[in-house]
Amino acid sequence: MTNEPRFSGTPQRYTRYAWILAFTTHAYLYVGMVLVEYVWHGRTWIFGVRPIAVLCSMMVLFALFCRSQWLRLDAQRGLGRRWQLRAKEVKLPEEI
Amino acid sequence: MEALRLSLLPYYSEIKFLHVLAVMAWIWSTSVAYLHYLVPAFRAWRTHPDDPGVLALRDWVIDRFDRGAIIEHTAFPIVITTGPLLFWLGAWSTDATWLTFKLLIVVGIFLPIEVFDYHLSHFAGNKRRALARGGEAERVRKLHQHWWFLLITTPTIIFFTLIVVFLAITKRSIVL
Repeated sequence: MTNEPRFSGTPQRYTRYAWILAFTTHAYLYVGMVLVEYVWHGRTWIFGVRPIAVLCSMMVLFALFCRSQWLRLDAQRGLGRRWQLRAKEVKLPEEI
Repeated sequence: MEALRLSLLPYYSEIKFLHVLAVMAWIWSTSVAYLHYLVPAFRAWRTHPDDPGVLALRDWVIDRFDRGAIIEHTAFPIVITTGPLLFWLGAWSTDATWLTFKLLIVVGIFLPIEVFDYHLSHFAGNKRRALARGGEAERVRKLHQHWWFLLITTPTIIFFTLIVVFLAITKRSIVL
């Protein structure tokens, strides 16, 4: 047994972080496009229903993708959970 | 500046070749090591956090991964140097909406990720350096930080890289 501190990742945290990350990245992209397209070039298409709907859809898709990926990568679900640990004595090469 | 641009303009295709080659190295160079070596080792750690054999393997894999990131981190400066060079030489402007969107992703999302990745892989966040500096506790702290970083950036890189590469190849206007 070791006394190593526990990793702080949990499924609840991953869900919360997925939505925060999706919202901040897409809000940044939308504000950036508004600054370039409207403030700089005076184009108004960026305020239309379609660009906003597409961006919101992208945001939801990204949030769901993040959550799903994090749960799989961090062994909370999906492939790899049933992997077995087979004890083998190996020497791991180290560079000095 | 215009004279310099005109003198480099005949080499636009060669610079583009270098840019695309570096993008490929940046995107793919760590993928096999990450998916098939690092992730299995870290999954084993998350399901068996106290197993000494798993911990030894995890530590070895992350040390190798830190070193393996050299290819990616050599390619990235080439990408962000040749990219603006192509922008300037090709007289591109923000009239191309696909390019504006792509640049926003590169500058605002990829660049901060890579800066932190340099820190974690080669500078103060490097696990070997952390061990030398602050002992086992510091190394484990950095290791946890690196795993958080990898978890958060993996879907981010996959999602936005697909968009960036799609826009770069199709050059499709995003005006809806």
